[in-house]
Amino acid sequence: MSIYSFFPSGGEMYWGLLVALYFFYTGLSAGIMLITSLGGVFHLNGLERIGKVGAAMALSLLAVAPVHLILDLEKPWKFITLFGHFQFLSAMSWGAYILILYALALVFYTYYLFKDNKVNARKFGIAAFILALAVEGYTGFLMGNIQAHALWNTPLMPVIFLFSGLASGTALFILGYSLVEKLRNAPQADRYAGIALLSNWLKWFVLVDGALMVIYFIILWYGHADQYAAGYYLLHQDSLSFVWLENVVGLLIPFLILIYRPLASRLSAQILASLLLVFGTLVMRINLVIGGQKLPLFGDRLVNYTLTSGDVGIAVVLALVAVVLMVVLIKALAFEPKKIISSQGKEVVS
Amino acid sequence: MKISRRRFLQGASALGLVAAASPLALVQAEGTKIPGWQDGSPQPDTLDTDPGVKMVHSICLGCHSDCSLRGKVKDGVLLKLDGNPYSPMTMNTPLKYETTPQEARKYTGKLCPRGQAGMQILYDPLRVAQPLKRAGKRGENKWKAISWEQAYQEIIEGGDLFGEGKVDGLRAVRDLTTPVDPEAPELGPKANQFVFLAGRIEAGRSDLAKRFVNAAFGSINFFEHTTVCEQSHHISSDHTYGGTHHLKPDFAHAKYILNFGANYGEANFPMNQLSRKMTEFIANGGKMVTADPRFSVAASKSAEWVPVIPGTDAALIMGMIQWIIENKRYDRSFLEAPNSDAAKKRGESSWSDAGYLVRLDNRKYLRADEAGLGGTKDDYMVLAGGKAVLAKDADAADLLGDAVTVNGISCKTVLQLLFERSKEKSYDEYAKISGIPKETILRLADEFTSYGKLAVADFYRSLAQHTNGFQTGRAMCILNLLVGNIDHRGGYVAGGSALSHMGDKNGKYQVAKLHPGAVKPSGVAISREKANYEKSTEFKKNGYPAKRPWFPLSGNVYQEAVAGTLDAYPYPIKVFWLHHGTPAWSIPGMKDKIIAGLKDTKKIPLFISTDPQIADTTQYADYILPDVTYLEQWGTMGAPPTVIGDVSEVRQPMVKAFPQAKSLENILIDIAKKMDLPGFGDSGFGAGMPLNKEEDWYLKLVANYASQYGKIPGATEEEQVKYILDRGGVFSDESKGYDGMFMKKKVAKLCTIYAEKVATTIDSMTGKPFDGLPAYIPVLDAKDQPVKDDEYPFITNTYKISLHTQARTSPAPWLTEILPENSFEMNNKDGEKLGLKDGDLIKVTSKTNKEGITGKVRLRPGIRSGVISASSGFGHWHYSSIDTIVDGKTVPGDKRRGTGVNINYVMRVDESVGNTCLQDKIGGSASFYDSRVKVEKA
Amino acid sequence: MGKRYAMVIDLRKCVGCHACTVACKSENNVPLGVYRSRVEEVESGDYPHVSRHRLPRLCNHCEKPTCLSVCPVKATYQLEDGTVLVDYERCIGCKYCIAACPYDARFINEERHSADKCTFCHHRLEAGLQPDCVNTCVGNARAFGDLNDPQSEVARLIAANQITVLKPETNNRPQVYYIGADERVTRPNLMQLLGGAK
Repeated sequence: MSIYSFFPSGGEMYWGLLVALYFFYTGLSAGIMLITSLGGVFHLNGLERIGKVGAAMALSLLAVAPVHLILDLEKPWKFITLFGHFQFLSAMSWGAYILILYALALVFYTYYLFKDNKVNARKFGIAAFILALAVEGYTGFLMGNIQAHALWNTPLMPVIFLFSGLASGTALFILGYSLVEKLRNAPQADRYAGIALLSNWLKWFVLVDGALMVIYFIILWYGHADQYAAGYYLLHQDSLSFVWLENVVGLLIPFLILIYRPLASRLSAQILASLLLVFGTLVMRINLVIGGQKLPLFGDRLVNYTLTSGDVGIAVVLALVAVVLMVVLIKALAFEPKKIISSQGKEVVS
Repeated sequence: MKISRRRFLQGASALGLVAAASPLALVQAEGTKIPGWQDGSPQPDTLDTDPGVKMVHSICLGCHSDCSLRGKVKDGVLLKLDGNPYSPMTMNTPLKYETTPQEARKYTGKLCPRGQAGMQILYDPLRVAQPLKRAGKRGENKWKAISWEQAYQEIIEGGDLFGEGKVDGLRAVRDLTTPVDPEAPELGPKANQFVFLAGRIEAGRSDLAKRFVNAAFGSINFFEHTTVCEQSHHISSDHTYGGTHHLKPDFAHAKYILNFGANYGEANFPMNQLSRKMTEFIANGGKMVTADPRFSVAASKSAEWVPVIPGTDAALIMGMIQWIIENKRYDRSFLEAPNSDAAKKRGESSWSDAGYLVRLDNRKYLRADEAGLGGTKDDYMVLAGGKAVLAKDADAADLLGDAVTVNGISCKTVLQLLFERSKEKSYDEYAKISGIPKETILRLADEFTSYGKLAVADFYRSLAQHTNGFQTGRAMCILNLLVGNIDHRGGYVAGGSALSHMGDKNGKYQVAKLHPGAVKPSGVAISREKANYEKSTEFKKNGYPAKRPWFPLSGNVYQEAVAGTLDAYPYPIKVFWLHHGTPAWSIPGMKDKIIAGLKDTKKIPLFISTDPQIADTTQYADYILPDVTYLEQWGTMGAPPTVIGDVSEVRQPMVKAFPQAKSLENILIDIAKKMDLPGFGDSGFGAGMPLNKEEDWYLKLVANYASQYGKIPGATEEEQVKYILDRGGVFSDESKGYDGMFMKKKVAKLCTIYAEKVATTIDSMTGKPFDGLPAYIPVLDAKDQPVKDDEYPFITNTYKISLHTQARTSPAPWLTEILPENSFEMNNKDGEKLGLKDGDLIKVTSKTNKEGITGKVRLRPGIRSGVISASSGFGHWHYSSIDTIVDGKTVPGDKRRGTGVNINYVMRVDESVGNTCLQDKIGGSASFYDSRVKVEKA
Repeated sequence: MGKRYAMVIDLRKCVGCHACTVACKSENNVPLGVYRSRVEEVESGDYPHVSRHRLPRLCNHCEKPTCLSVCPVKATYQLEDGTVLVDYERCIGCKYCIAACPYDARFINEERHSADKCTFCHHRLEAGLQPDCVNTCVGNARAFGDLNDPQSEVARLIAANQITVLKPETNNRPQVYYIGADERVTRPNLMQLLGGAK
């Protein structure tokens, strides 16, 4: 027995690419911060060298992340209102403060790191580390709290955000750091062992990330009607993006590369795996944000999302800004070219 | 996200800002500004209670229900439309009539979506802003904006107006002495070559237009559009209920309503009040059964849906009638009473002809003079205890029995004849024809006769607009006579009362008579309506059949007024004035033929259209004279009989949005004065009583309300008129509509099962008399040949949704955004058999439209298999859905108005006469529900 | 006890005509393409056993509105009478409330650059008038009033009839009550829409 709707329903989707990119960039920034602070703050053996590049990258990504959200506001000029009040029940209100505190901590951490003020760097690094966790967590709650959309409404969401942030952050850092080394023409033999270590960790992040996706999906599938429909949507209507791009190309293949020993030790394979992971996470953010709103709350039509050229333009420009910032910051702060080229393995701070 | 946002401007000072939504006529006179829509800031609207707001009470025309309307006006801009709280049409508990307008602001009446969206019709930026004259060939949609003076001059005086040769103007056509056809003087004078064809025209306005066309110009050819609406409903009701052509169930007291396709909740009259009468009827425990091939809103609110095959309702009803008579379940007491006195004794106000004797030889009632029992030819005869007596002398008539011979004349009673007629087919045959199981037919007959006088059968257009519309309508009307519910509280009733705006009987101004020098038009209408073929020269020459059917029993035969014009039959015409009408869009099957005809300047030398829009047919006019919308207009209306309370409303202008637009009334007055026609001008109503502008007309009509009502406060006529205008009319609540167990307004006449007038009228196409008794009749063409089209398996159907009214609501985005396009609707199983999916594009063809039309199909369970339907209001080719060239500049159209399908285009042309759709020769109705079509995936 | 405004919609009396939809547009200057109040209507069954179901829907003015709690700038607020309103000036347009409302009741008003939704015609209530959708309902399906007044029409209807609210499981505690609501229209038929099994 079918249901016939007399009047077309279903409006336009309001959260789109820019919101997905916001989650993508904050995830990356926090992920990189978390992982690189292990060296920069906690002086984890073998990872000491990555702190500065990590800080520079995390800061650059964070610089563009909220711009997406601000430009997505109907009144971008009024974003400052977010800081006038604190709304205890609103994840977004929490987010505004977490993000600003994280940004402050990250700036000071970066600053002291390059000032070689280890005490202050550590203080702010710990703060930034905790706040980075909070950033991952709050973004997860922001969506997980929303009952209206079955795809979002799961307690796993903060954990998923944490691990996809860690995985994508680590992957992007591997890419960034490798690129830095490439640009410096570091001889192959001189490659930093820390990257290999991170690549090793990466596969575990991916494993957890993948495991979370499986758990998440199983719960959807066995959930109530809306959850099942959301799972069905992912599997059938959104299968190219969800199954293939997000989970096969973006998660499974990199995982296979990383666990296949003959490949795993090769830089090019690590880079490929990292690239796929970053791409997969981007797709995941889009699938989650846009896919999550696809199912209508009433009526007989999927909610329509129209990608505007304005949003694409903003996304491209901000991506370029992030890259330029990274280059500038890394160049200006992290590596004083001449000194760093010396293959002493020592960092020299100007 | 592309959302076009529009909003009314607030305040006249801002009106000049509208540049984005430029009105159609770009060349306006200096200094005139046309308000319109524009994107705007959303400050909240002024409240009803704001004293700075002016409330104007008027009459809606979102559809033809004429609901009582109230507009909120500030600084000359209409901000909101609501129902009038004084009126029972729009308010559950209407305000007491004495309530001050100031107090009334605190209350808001009800309006349907069409009514609410009326402002968008008013402020439509694509309205015609100034008179337009065609600049290319007819229909090319190129126009030149001209002044009113030029338009009048050219229309009246004619000349070589388009560089295509000389065209006669109105003055030349108004020849009251020369016969239009010297060989056939009965056709009337040459003045009849002026044809005025109105789509939507209402009381007050139509009275003035008739004054112009008939009584001043002297043409017989004034038409409304009734036969594309519901005419056979009216005519069949007339012939059953003693000349009352519109009755409705008294929903408040009825217990059982058998609804044959009336579209309660979506359309019908008045959709607004009728909707809640229906819902309250059901909430109060009433039982409704709806027979309709479509699962309509009414069907969805009914206890039972009877998905009858279109056009076969008569079979269902005749089956019921057979059972009712066979089982003596009729209201014997009512039917037996043969006269008014006998009826009164039995507690009835009306009586019936059930026991009247009908001669078997000439199909007439037996008259007393023929019976040889005294009395005159005006006295009917009945049998009382087997003895023939005068109907007026009998207390009770025998109802059934074999033929009797009275004074050598063989006769039977009317009820006996009906019974025999109903038995001409068996229940099984009726079941097979109607597609409704025998058990259901019998059960419905049982149910219908189980509620006494509180059971009512009702119908409207969907039963009437068939080739058998009149006879099916009569069968349906007779059901109510069988339960004797006429005039009874809870029965089939004539509704509330209205005062006579024309003051015909006891008004202060008997306006029609206040017409010095009035002309009496003569001859035969171009539609051959209300005229007998047998009196024509053509008949004397050619006998039967006539070239085209004549309609002695009907009027306002719209499709034949057009077909007669296109065929120059019975005479060629010279001036075709279309008013708010769109025959090419609305007459079934005739779109292309009408367009081709309208383009022919030989058939129609001068084509004028008064219309606020370049409507689909208006596109082919020579001149478009921009009429005002109903919100800038006057009018005087009563209410449909659904409304039991008394309603005598006044439409009055709320604002004037397009300064150059002129009301039809003012246009006619201007032209009449320029032509020196009688009954207009400084002494239009007589010495010292001018008719120089529309107010001169309408204030007299409103004064008639005051004088008849008699209790309007105010020392002077002006004060009383103002009192009425301040309230939008004269109203009383519904409780005033009852008279004990009866209705206050009664039919109180002889109601007839036998239609003698019909039975004694000859069909011009066959030479045979029409039938005085109803029967199921299959689809026939004008020559009574069956129309089978077996290779076309689907039957067309159409209906009105709550969002649209005929052609004229498409400019309202508030309506079109809810349902941006209509579709063909088919049963889902039919669709699956054809391999169709919901939303597929299909092609629909018929025997006379093999090219067909294409559109989307929606597959739903709520439509009978074998039926294809589409709601009306869509499928425009113009109505400003396309670009228009004015003075060489392109005015962009609005594509949202041109979406969807109009199923009329694929309906069947009657090839036996050509140039028109299938039609009902008695009632005159155009058939919308008999065409057969084929469906393929496009 | 103060006032607690609520609406009761008796779907047995709703004819699905959209008078409310259009009246709301007109009264509240709602831009095209978005709605404060609208009507869903479905048909279901197998011929000839068919039924039609309607659902006028609007902001539920919930007792525990998610939209209010998610708003980061407190632009959404609730009056003592329960009415949930948006401060259009204060709203920054983050659209979180739109995403969070389980009733799809909110939209962006592009004229205001703000979230927007039904206000129960607050401006009319203040002037002693009823919400316009209630006024205009041609089927007499809508009733509005004070739930805390046992004599009010809404209180009487709720007492006398079996009533439902939309998605009670979300714990928003909506204050628009329905009589005769059918699941076939109160929830989207997602599996049919996705082309999947039932």
